[in-house]
Amino acid sequence: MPRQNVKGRFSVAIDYSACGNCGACVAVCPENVLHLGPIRLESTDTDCTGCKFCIITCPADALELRHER
Amino acid sequence: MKDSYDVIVVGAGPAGSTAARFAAAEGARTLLLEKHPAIGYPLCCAEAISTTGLTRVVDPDPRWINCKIEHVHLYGPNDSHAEIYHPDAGYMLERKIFDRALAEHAADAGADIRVGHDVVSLIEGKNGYEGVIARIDGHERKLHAKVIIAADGIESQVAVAAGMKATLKPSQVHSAYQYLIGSPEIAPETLEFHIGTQVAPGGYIWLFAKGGSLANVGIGVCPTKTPKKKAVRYLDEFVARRFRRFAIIERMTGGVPTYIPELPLHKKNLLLAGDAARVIDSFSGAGIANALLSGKLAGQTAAAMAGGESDGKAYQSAFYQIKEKELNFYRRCRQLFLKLNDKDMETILRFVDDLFSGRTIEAVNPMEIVRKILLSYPRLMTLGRHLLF
Repeated sequence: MPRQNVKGRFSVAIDYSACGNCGACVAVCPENVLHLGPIRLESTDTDCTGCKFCIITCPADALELRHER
Repeated sequence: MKDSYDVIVVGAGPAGSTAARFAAAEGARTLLLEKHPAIGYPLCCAEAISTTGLTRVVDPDPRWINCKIEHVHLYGPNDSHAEIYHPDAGYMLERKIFDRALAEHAADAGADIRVGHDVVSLIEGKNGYEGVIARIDGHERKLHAKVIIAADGIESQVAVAAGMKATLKPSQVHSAYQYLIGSPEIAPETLEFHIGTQVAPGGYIWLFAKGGSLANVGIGVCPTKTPKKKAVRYLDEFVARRFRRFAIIERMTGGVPTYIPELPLHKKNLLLAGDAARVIDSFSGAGIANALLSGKLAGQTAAAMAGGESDGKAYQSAFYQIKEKELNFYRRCRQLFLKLNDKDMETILRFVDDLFSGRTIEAVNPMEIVRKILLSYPRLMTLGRHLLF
């Protein structure tokens, strides 16, 4: 399956009550989907390939992978 | 407000503020940018620093020193325990005040500082970068400079913009969580480290006394060793075991990078410093001392570059001349540590206990270490071999 079709079906949901804005997820995201803004973590979603690196690395259980079929 | 400088520094943590201070002190027109509305917050830091790591760059100031560190206690599997006394080991910092003081030093040296400036990209020119684009209250603004220093942390957006982000694998990051705790059950001027595959997989728990009845209690784990159970769960279990009475005053999460030898510290007229450069002690996760030193050298080099002398390579060699061996050694320590089982950790702690028991660190001589290993701890030879290549 071509890569473009895989992209866009995944997104990262952020639980802001648990997120501590540490940037651990940003450092491991190979597609630069996550971005640590001045106020809080932001997710652009469009390039997410569903690798789960951010979810594994998060110290706080603040991230969840959403998958739309 | 001016929009053209010799040196722009992105990020006002220890690396950035130090870089701005030294660039300005060398006469460069310097601007320090911080994306948050305040310098010194939020933090992801356990706040301990060695005496040499601090005093090499900054003179200690009682305004931001919580206390000295004199005692180190190590706790391992099967109740193994070792104690090291080192009267000059280091300091516990109050980072919120420390970071502001470093920015104050930069301002005193003549640097301009602007908070609430989120640098989102670089202005590319023919021979390098001509400046940065910062977002301020929803507006974008171009700021020009001859040299740019990226000190914007583990999440460095400048490194991403320059196409030199070292994307870390989850196994190359410590996943960390910390509480500031108030409790009467904290030994003064003491650092506690707790290790064990069940306690903190691929990492350790720390308890650093901050003076009074306060302490930073935190954990760093290797996320691939525990993909489902999060750092915060291990920490909660530890706190419940360790304290009868406690109150949590602050909580913070942390991502601690490990050192990546292949990553260059410069590209054209862009220099990386601190966590953005991944110059971290990969074993302990300590980063303040390397941030200060890389910031100082980056600032001095940037000032020279703005005057048409020196280049990014000079910065990298100056830093590596002092730090490369150490960074590589700690990197190997971490690789070895990740392989240890509980029995190995217990052996190491019993050895350390045997070696130091109640003595200061200077009282131990190298021959004694070798003799003890050969006679009583042969397993350590097999493990130690991995550190010496």
